[in-house]
Parts: sequence; structure tokens; C-alpha cells
Amino acid sequence: MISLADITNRVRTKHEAATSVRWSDAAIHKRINEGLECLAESTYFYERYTTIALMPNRTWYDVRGFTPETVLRITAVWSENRQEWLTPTSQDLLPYDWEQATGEPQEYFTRGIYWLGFWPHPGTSISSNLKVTFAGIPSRFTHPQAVLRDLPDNYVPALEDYALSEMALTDKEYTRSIRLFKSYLAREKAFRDLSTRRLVGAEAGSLMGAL
Amino acid sequence: MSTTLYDLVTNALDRAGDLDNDIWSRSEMELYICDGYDEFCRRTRILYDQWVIENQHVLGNYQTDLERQLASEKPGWSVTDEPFHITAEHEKNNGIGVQYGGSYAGPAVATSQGAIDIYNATTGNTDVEAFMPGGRLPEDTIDLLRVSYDQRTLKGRSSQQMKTDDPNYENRSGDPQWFIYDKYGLFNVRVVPVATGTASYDTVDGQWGTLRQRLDADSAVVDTIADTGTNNWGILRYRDDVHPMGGRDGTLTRVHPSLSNIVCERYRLGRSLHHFAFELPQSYEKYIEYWALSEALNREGPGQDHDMADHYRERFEIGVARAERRKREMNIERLAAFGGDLPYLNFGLGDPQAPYPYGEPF
Repeated sequence: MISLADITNRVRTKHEAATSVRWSDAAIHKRINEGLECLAESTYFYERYTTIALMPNRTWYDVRGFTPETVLRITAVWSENRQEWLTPTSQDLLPYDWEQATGEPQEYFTRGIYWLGFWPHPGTSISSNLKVTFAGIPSRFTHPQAVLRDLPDNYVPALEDYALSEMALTDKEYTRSIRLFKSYLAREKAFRDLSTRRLVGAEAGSLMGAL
Repeated sequence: MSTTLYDLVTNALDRAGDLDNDIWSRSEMELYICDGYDEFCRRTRILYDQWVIENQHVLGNYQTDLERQLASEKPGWSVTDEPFHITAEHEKNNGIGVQYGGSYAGPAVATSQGAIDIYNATTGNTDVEAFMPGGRLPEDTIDLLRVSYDQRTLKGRSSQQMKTDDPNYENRSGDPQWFIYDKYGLFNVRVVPVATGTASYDTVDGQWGTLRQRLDADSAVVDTIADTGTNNWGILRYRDDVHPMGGRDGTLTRVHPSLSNIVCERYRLGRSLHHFAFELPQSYEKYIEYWALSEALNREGPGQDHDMADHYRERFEIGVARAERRKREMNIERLAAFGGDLPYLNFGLGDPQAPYPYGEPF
């Protein structure tokens, strides 16, 4: 695992900015963190789960209130009470009076990027939790010794390319910035393939497919 | 920590290498940031919200918030001193001191002779009741997604369809079944039949202080005397059955009941950065800054650089595309189960393929 301080030093080396006269650590950290957010949003590599305590008579839950990270996509919801998975659905598929039904949630849906709803919603007396697994954007690196275990070392150069591209842009080195950004995009795609096609090798291999 | 307009402007100027404002002033960059924020929210439609049209008696008509406050707080004021909606020629005779003519936005409050009569101050009727024909959505509304009454979805109808379905819909009252959104002004929603103002709101006692939860179905303002019992003070964090309390920010003023009320689900713009913090995820700040930079770099004069401006605009477009995809894939499990335009197959082999080059000559 490569720490933020190490990534910063590598960026300094590549940008030939050994001192903090032109580029402060804070400025470089900001660009590395932006790269991390871009990478996470594109690749969905950061996977976590959280628990939502159901509230009486509540349909909607703001996912911002349950995790320090930003939720990108809900991948599954498990009901602790019913001991089964909730069915993903859309409000359009529910009956017109779906809001009036109460009981243990059986289906879930989303609105916008923040709101998670359940059908039916709990009645007045309920004590239950839902386990929500999601892919998200990790919290920003803050401490120089911070590491992110989810990000493999061999994809850290993507963050470096991103930061370097941004720095070049600020320095009005337009051509260099474009080249570095393209390099970042190529690494991003490679990481996305790794993240989203994890089972392809195992399944294709077992079925005699050609990899 | 929440990001403010000041932060965004500073970041944009930093990216432009002009923190000293040699080329672009802060006020100029502010305009670009606010413009980019609106553009991003409008294009991506990612901020979902609910807006409640209070199904309560409207005492007379109102055209502004002040009039509404006066009409609500001082019954009779609007009846005698201000015009109210008139829907037929003979109704003009029923008002005292009304102003004739003019035009008004929004659906009519008084929709029948009976409703008009009770406005007539000469009858001495102080128990004024009126219908609740709908209301106005905030102008930051981008899309109206759904309207519900009493927790039931209302069907959207064009005004022409509604006229065909029920030529007398203007006079109907009762539990709303439909809504119209194309005739009474840009953001005005009209429910059909008009509601009868039966939403039951909490009584808020006290005059000042912070609202807190007292019982499940009761809210109160903290007054200067502490109540007896335990857990009697503190900021109200949620109220059952009410949407905004599921949010993380803000302090309640008054809660909207879902029962017998009109709830509009919508996508909206971000709140004004001059008064509120940036509402989008922190990772989207940069896209707004890219927009501002593309605008700044395209401006004639010192610092103009079309290539850089195009590049920043392209980066903004990438952000828009990512945000749109994110909203689409928020419920990824459903997309995977029912089919959708997933850019990458999560697991599995991909599309089925014949084990030989089907259709090609051997």
C-alpha cells in the first residue's frame, strides 16, 4: 500500500517540482484526491456496506446520513427481520396507493443520487435493520500517511497521471496535460475492466471459453 | 465540511492561476460558478426533492407570500381589501371592494357559487372555508415526477384531456384524483377535483425557540419554561412519516403530514450558492469549476484561450455524463435484473456466441 506522502513524492518527481515553492503539498493532495474520486466513480472499486435502522412510518432515507463515503450505487439490501434480500424495483411498477401499505419492507427503489425508498414502509411499531451494500467514493486522503487498501498499488499511477494532468493545466502546459489525461483515462479503463469483470475469467475458464 | 461559493470561486481562480485577480475578478467568477451549478443540475437531474402543497383552507386569494401570510394570519383581510379569483361575471358582485380586471396566475380558489358566497362579508359569515385547488412549485423545479394526494398517486392530465373527461371539472370538489400542469402558470399545479383543505397539521405552541419532538404526533416550540419529564429539549431530528426529516441538514419549522396532503416529487436545481452550501457531492465541485473556467477562458480580452476553454468544457461534459450514469445506475441491481444499458457486464460471459464463426464461409 502506498501512502499519500509517497504518491505526493512520486508526483513531485515526475513534475520536477521537488520543493513546495510552486506546488504545495496541499495543492498536490487536492489533485490526487480528485483523481481518486474520478477513479472510484468510474470503476466502482470501493465496496462497502452499512446498516439502516428502520424508522416508523418512514419511506425515504437519505443515504448521506448513513455513511461517511459517497454512495454511487446500491448493490443489494438485506432484511435482518425477514432474513432475505429485498427486490429492486421502481416506483413506476408499484400500485398507485403504494405509500399507504405498511409492513416489513420487501422492495426498494431510488430517486436521484441521495434517496433510497422502501415498499412497504414500516408501520408505527417496528424494530428492524436493513443491511445495504453499495459501491461508493472513498473519503479523501487527509493525513500524509493515509493509505487506501482497496486501491491496488499498480493502479496508483492513475492518480499520479490525473494529478500531473491537472498541474500541467494550471501551468498552461496544455499539450502535456492532454497527454497525461489520456494516460489517466487508459489506466482508468484498465482498472474498470478489473473491477467490473472479476468473474469472467473464472466462469469462462470453467466453461471452456476462450479468454 | 460544506463547500461554499467562496471556496468554489477560490478553487476556480487557483486552477486559472489568477488568485490575485489580475484577469478575472471574484464577482465575475461567481457568476460563472452559479451558472455552471445550474447547468449541471439542470442537465443531470440528480437532486430529488419533495414539495408539499398544503391542503389547508386558503382564506381568500393571495399573489405574494406577504398576502398569503396576511390572509392566513388575519382572516378577512384579503376578503375586503384585496382581489380574489373570480371565475364568472356574476361573481364580481359578490365581493366587497374587489378590483375588477387584471390577470392572475394559478388555479382559482373559489370554484363555485357557494364558495364565493362565503367570501361575502355582508353575510357576516366568519367561519370562512374555501377549497384548495393546488399550488405553485418553486421555480427551481426542473421536472415534476409525481403528485400524490393522501399517499395515492394522482394521474397527470393535460387540461384538454381533463376537459374531455369531465367538462365540469372546474366545479368539482372532493378527494383529488388527477392533476393538471399545463394551464395555470408555469409552475402551478391544479388538482382535480379541488381538495377540501382537510390536512391536519400539528398545532405549534409557544412563540419562539427551537422546535422539538414531544410525542410521536406532536411537535412544540421550546419555550422559556422547561417541561417536566425527561428528554424534553434539544433539536428535533426527525418526525415519523415526513420526508424532509429524513434529510441530514436543517432545523424544522413545521412538519407536513402525509395524510390528506398534496405531495409533489420533483427534480430541482441546487439551492442558491449565495445562501446555501454546495449540495452536490464533493467530487462534483471540479466540474462546476471546469464550466466556470471554460466561460472565463472564452471571454474576449486578456487570458482568452479557446483551446483551454474547449478542454475545460469537455471535462465538464465528462462530469455530466458520469453524473447521469450514476443516477441511472444508482439502483444497479434492478438494471441488472430487468435489463438496461449497462456499459459493462458485471459478471458472466457476455453475449452468447456460437462456437464457430456462424454465417461465414468455411
